[in-house]
Amino acid sequence: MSSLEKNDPAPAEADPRREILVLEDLSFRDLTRQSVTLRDANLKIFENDLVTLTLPPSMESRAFTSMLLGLRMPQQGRVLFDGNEWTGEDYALHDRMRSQIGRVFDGKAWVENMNIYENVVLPHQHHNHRTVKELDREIQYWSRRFEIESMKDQRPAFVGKTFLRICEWIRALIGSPRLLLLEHPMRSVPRARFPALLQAVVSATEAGAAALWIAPSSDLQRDKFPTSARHYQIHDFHLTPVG
Amino acid sequence: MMLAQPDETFRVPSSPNLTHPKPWQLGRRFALTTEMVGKRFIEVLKVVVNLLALVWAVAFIAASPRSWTPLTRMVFARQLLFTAVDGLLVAIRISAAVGVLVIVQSAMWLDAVGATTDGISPVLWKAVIHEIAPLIASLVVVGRSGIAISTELATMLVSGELEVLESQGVDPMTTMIMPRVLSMTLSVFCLAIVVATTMLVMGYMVGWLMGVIHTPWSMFLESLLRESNLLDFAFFVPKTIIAGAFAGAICCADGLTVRGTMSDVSRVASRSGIHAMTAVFGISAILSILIYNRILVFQIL
Repeated sequence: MSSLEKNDPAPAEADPRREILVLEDLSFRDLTRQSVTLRDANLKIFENDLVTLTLPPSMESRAFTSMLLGLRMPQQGRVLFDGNEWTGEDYALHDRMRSQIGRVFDGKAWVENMNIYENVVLPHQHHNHRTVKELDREIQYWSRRFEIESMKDQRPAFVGKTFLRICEWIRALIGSPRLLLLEHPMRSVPRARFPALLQAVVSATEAGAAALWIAPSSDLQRDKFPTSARHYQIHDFHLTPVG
Repeated sequence: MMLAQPDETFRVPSSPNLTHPKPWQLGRRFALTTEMVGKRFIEVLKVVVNLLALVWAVAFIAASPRSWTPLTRMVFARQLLFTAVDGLLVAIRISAAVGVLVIVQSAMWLDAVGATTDGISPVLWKAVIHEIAPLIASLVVVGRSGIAISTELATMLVSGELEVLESQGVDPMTTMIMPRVLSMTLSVFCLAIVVATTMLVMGYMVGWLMGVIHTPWSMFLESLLRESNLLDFAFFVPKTIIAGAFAGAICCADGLTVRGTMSDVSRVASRSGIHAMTAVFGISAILSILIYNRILVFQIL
């Protein structure tokens, strides 16, 4: 049994699928920026599950998503990823848990003194998940699928925003992540690319991942999502289902 | 010329602020001063303890083979290249100048009092190996790389790059701090050897050309080596290693204390340079006390 599985709860009776991300009575606010603020939020995201969260206008999700990754602490309640909490001092376990989460960032997403390729393979090499050959093969596959050119030897500061955003998508998708956290993922991406990106998320969820797509309503075309997707919004600091 | 006499009628205006302090007021002032000094002392002690903890953590993490992931190795190699290899020419230039100053000055003074240059060898050897070479190497590394490290880490923190790494399960302590502190430590040690060699060679060459050193190179070298013993190296190694480790730890720790915006980065970087240089001098002095029972004075005989 892997260390990630040691605290696995018993399977839920209501839904036999494995719970990937669980928010329990969660209250969160971040005073440093115009961040997502939640009170007593409860949410379960299962494997093969795609959930969207509509943000109120001009609200940022970075601090909230960092909290889902255990980088910030909620004021109340708890967050569980794959049955494990982010509390405690087993930092090696936390790092391994984070290595199974793919994230498209709201804002800064790159280490500037490395080129894009180094940035993309960095977490996978660090955690020894994949060999360079396997990573290259996977990067080439997604590059072809998203129709972008090679990302070798280019520093993040010297390429276009769309290309950079697609590379961010590739970084989040490679390595078969258990959870995809997509913050405002269509920012800087032309609408024409939406079907390909959404299809990539659907493929990942079909393969067993869970996905949380966070975006403002202006950038979230709910009708384009598969019917199995669940939709939520933040209304009066509470998480409420839509539709 | 008559000096003006003080006016007899002048009186200090009476004011409650100008009266002599009462004994209880003096006691209170003494207590406040003592409290302030005590607080400051505890703050400094906390900083030292934190730095010791950081150095210990770096050593602990570096000792684990699992820490040496491709990313850690890459950061370490790049930092070593920038600090030790690229800093070589700077270290040689500075040590050549200091070598000329120290050795030629000493030789000239000995020449003036009619002493032979044989007498200069022990002083040179002790001064260069025990104090000057480790100091110059540390200052070159701090000035060239320490401030750059501090700036880089502060920028990464403010711009959110460290959060990006952490989000992907990449521990900044293992991949960003440990290799940098380690490379600074190694660089100070290696550059100190280069500095010592350059100082002695350049000092001899210029002194010989100026006619203040009369002994041939072989004799000069022989007299230097005669003065050396195992104890010199036993002190040279820890002195460079400890100074380098602390300088690296200070620069990294200061870089990560930045709060606010990008405009705070330069302030933090310059402050870390001053902190690291102060620490290098302080460590040098403390080790000298411990080793020779004197402060920055060389026990020649």
